Amino acid sequence: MSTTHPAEKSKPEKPGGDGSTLEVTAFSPRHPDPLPFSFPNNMKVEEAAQLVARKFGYAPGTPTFKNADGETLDRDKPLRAEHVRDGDVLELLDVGGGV
Amino acid sequence: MVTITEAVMADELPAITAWAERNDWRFTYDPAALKGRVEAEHPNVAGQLVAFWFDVTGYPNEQPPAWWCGGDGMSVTTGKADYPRPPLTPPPGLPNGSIFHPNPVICAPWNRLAYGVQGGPHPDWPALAAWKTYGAGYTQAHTIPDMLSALAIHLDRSDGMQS
Repeated sequence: MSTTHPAEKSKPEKPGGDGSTLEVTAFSPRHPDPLPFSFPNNMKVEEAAQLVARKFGYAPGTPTFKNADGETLDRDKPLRAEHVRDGDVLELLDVGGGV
Repeated sequence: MVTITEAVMADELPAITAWAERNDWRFTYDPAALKGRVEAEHPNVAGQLVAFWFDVTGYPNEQPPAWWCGGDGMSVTTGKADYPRPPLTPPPGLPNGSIFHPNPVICAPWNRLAYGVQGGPHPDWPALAAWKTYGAGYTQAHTIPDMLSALAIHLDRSDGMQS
């Protein structure tokens, strides 16, 4: 049985061409090197961040992304609505609140 | 013989260094003392440097690190002026609340100084060794670079230093 996440196995026919998928690079704090990811265009930030978090070995939490401008993406919005584009470099982070 | 803490820190150092470089934080670590220091400019107070110290004695199996702000690193400091403050008017979005408590302490399950047994505000976290199980739904960070990331996102929402 394959354990590959959907976002990892979805390869666009023509990256950035038909706009059906987003090809991004994601860093996580606990790994020095980034990984490439491909997400459906309409995927919510929260779903994409959870996939990336699992891939990097994180336990369930409150993940989202920070973009290259340092903006924290709204977990409730689609990636496109948060202006994620092909080729973007994102940083995974957890936005769990203060105790 | 290499201790578990030494081995884990050796494993985490490349990620810590990479995170610090990506985020323009200055990082130093003394493996003999098991202490590290990171320094960043407060994102909302021009010219204000914030220094975070950590002590990884017993990390990660026996207890979480100790994190504090300011001082020379020889002992835990509690000078309010060294600690960022929570925002008076929280900006929109997550995270809710702040890890920067006015006690002052960095209040998170990944800081052993927040535990009641260490004089912190959380007697509801009785076992230091169970630190990865506490605070579900709140700030979670199980490695030092994850903790740096958590400090950074809460520092982003701070509007100044405590006084």
